[in-house]
Amino acid sequence: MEKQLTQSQLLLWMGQQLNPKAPLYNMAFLFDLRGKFEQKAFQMAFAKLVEQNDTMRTVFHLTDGKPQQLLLEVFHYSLPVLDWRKEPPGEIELQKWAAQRSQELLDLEQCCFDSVLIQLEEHRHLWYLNQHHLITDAWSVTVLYQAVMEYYQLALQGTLAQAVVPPQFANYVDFETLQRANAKTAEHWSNKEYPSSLPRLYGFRRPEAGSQAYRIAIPFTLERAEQLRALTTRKELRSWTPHATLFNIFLTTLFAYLFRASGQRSLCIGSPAHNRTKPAFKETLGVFIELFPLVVEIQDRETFLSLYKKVQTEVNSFLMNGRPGASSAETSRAFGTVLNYIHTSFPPIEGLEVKSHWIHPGHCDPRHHLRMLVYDFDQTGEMQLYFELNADVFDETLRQQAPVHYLSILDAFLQNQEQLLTTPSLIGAAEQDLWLKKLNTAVVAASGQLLVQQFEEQVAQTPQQIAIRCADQELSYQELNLKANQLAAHLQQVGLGVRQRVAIYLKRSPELLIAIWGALKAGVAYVPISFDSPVDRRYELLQLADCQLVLTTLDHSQGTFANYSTTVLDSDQEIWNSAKVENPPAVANREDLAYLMFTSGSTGQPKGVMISHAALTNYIDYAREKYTAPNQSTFALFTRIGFDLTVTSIFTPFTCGGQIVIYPEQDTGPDLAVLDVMRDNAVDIIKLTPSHLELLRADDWSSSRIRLMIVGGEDFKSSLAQAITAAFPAELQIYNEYGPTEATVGCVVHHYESRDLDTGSVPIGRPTTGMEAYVLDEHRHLAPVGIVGELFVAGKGLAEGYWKDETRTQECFVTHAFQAGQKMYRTGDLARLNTAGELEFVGRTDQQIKIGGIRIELGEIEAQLAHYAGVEGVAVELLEQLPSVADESKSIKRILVAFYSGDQAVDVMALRAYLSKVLPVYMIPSQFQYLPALPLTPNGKINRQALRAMERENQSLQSYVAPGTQVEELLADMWQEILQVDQVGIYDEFLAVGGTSLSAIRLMARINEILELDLPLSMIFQEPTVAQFATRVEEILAKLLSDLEDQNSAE
Amino acid sequence: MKTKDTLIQFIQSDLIDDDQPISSDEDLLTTGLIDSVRVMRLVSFVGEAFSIEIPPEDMTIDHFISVDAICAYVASKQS
Repeated sequence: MEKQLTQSQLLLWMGQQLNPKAPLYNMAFLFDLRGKFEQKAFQMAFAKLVEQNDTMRTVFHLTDGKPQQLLLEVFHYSLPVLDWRKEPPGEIELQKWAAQRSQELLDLEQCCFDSVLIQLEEHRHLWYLNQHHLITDAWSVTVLYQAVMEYYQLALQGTLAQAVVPPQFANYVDFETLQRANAKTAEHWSNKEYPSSLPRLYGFRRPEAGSQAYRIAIPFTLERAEQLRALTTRKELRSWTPHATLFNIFLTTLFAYLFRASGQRSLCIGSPAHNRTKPAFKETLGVFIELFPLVVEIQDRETFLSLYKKVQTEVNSFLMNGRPGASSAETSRAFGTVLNYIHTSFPPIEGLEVKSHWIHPGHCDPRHHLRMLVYDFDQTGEMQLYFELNADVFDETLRQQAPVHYLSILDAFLQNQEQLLTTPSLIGAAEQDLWLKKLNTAVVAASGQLLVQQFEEQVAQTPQQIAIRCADQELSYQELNLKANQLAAHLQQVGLGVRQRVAIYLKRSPELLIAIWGALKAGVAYVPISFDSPVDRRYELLQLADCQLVLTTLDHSQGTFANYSTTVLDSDQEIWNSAKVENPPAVANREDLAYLMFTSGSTGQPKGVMISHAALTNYIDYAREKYTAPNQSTFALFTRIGFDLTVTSIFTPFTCGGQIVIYPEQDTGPDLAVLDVMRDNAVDIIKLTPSHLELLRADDWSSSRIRLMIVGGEDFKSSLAQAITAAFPAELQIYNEYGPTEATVGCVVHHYESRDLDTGSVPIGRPTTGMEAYVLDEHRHLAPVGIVGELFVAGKGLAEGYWKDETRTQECFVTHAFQAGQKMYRTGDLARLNTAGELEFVGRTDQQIKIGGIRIELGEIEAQLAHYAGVEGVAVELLEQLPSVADESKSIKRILVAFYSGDQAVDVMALRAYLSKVLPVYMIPSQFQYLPALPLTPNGKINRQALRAMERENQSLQSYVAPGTQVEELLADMWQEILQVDQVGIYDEFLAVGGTSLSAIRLMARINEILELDLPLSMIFQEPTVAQFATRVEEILAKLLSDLEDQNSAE
Repeated sequence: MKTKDTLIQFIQSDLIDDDQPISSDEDLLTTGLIDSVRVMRLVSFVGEAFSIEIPPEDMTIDHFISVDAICAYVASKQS
């Protein structure tokens, strides 16, 4: 008897076709039977089972491109018996054997189950039964078990012939077909709104996952089970039945967990409707269950109880509409998480002690990133919980931690249902330790001496050593110190000291360094004004900082600063004539300001960051320790003084007997002093930005003297690090230093190693000495490993706050989450902790954008782009695209535009194909714009504003591109025919133009027929455009042809 | 009176596995007599048979725990 598949079977069948080599749907059980046992009687019982149940005799095949099930009348299966008594395997070997056997693929055209009886000891047998999900579900297995055991008893009594024929699966297939014709419930499901994407658990963002999966037992104590059961009588929670209440609780907590583990608010979970709606169906073997989507939207300030109420309503709608045949490929695409709550179990058999094990075949439907199984054993009150975790989404560490995170949520629910979903912390004690102890080792540097005293000590040790070189000019430590003392005396003479400020407006020169040291010695905070800053900006800073004096040169004192008090370093000879040569007494305390540095916020309004002597000293202590080495500590000074990155080079060499080589600004044109540094080849250590490195990547620097690079200021892409490693001598050390100005130059650092390659960006690593770093979620909980949150930093290097801006200071320097009385700074940067315990920079919070409600970090897209050969610099922006004339909605669309640099423009088509393998569709930019070089800001960072403002070339991407090759034409025709559309462009996505799983089957059958190939069904999803598909087909055809030629020539 | 009979008849013929007699104050739910899928059929039936709109928030155990409870709920909706 041939019958069509039920909707549930059809979805399973397609799932299997998409993954033909994976035992996704093997439902294997091992029954451990102890006691007196008659093998013959059991074999007869099993034969009777096959004889009496049509579903056991069912095979599947394709008829005219449509899957059909054939319920065979006659089907012989003789249960094999193995005798392992001579060498009985140990428990572990046994488990291994069962795991292996459960992974064997069943041939659906021959027999959909595999069973064997094993004798281990005189009175111990194992019965192994593996069925394809197409012919069974959890309920069916218990019915089958009871039937076999009943037949076994009858066989023992010799009355097997009297066994009553049970109801048949064919009846259900007919019933389901009729039900399916009833459009009402199907309409409910097709009208329902589903989230536009699956939650990205722990930041998972590859376009698809494989099928490999692990089943992890969640430690679930009897105490927890009892607490749960007690809750079922609470009036607010009480649902139809205690089981229904428990199901609702598990569903609520699983939703809450998904929300917390992904940040996504629109969530969907699939759960099975049992579909055994008639008494006869309860006794029928076969697959009845059908998965239906349950959807909730998490609101702000959602509590467990308010979510529970939503879930309750949603479950009622699910119960009302989850009818046989009402699911579809579309409903099953809506969820990536499944909750299966099972409260059936195998009843004991007289005279036999039976233990059952459900063996996990190591694979799951790849769409199901997470499946939660709850076994509720009513008899004992016990509950067992399992997570089945997709191996691509959950790596080994996450597989350990995810169950802990879920339990944190469940326990929070048990404790107090009125609390917010965001209140409990996800992470357990072990993970918290990783953060608080391993990452943030509270090292207290004992130095105690402030920077100025350290410098003076260095002068005393190496007075004659060269401290500064600038072209032909040289200054020894003693000369530098003398001049700094003279200037300090002058400043004090004119009445300046602590809590006062001098502006410094000087080219990079020996005078600049003298000015800085002079100010620090006098206890006056310096306000650096970069030499190339526009005139208006100079005035603005002077005004904002309320400077008492400007240190500058004659030409500027008469020009720009004519209306200000100035000290002119190049002509005020009396300063240098002063007799004062001794070091002045230390006047500045630890918390007094060393400098006040202005950064431009996203609003463009400069913010003054107040850095104390203690903070500056903390950073320089760290930098000296980490970067300098005896006789190898010559630094280059070539970056802007108003940029805190430059602080490293300004101070570090003077506390270790090192040297500074100065590269002044040119009078006109962009500041390309980095090239002077490279050509001069006179320094050991260089501090620079990734954009600087971009300028260097193409050349050969194998004879460079530079032994250490400190990279900061911007996200540092691995591909760039790799290119630089290749261009420089092998001894080159690269440090990626992260740090906002507010935490003094650098507070998190990573020593680059080539193994870092596989991530898009070089990690930023671990906190520097005296500093701490935390990734917190929006509710200031530590984010679990892998989850993106905002980076907070704390420690000795923290700024005192913003200059004259108490509001902003309070906003950004907040109460420390873990240490009483301390502050931490919220960086506005997104980061995550990787499984190696290193921090990774992800992007800016203000660069985190939303498209269709999905959170996207532009940095992620950039990282993938930067990986692509030929792409060097890259920046992705979300830009508004004006509606085209043809677009009738006239709505403004926002699209992702990628700007990239490199030797030449790359093949966009190939780039797109590459991206589609590593990013979800919605993260692939719509436009790619090639630029010979990306515009930079004066500080050497990518100038995003300039990019946004840049006139895009007037080549708006056409949506329809006609087929070009013969294969494309052929494919486009078949698409049009099967999808019933008038026109298919070669870049149109299969699903986007109305493709469904069913049409995919038909399309692939058609393609295989016409091209005489045997392509797998999955290919249409791997190569979802005509263009991509055609390329693959051409490759395959070419390969076949050359194989054929090889064969011919061999003959 | 009619409401009660209609309900008992429907429950006995359509929802319970065997035709066991039920009384109007009998607990239909916590005893496991009617499972959660079938209770939804009962909810649909009540809506259709007595021409009342039952919003999801009314689908609670208190309104449907016994034939008497359903009668009271139906009466409250009809008045």
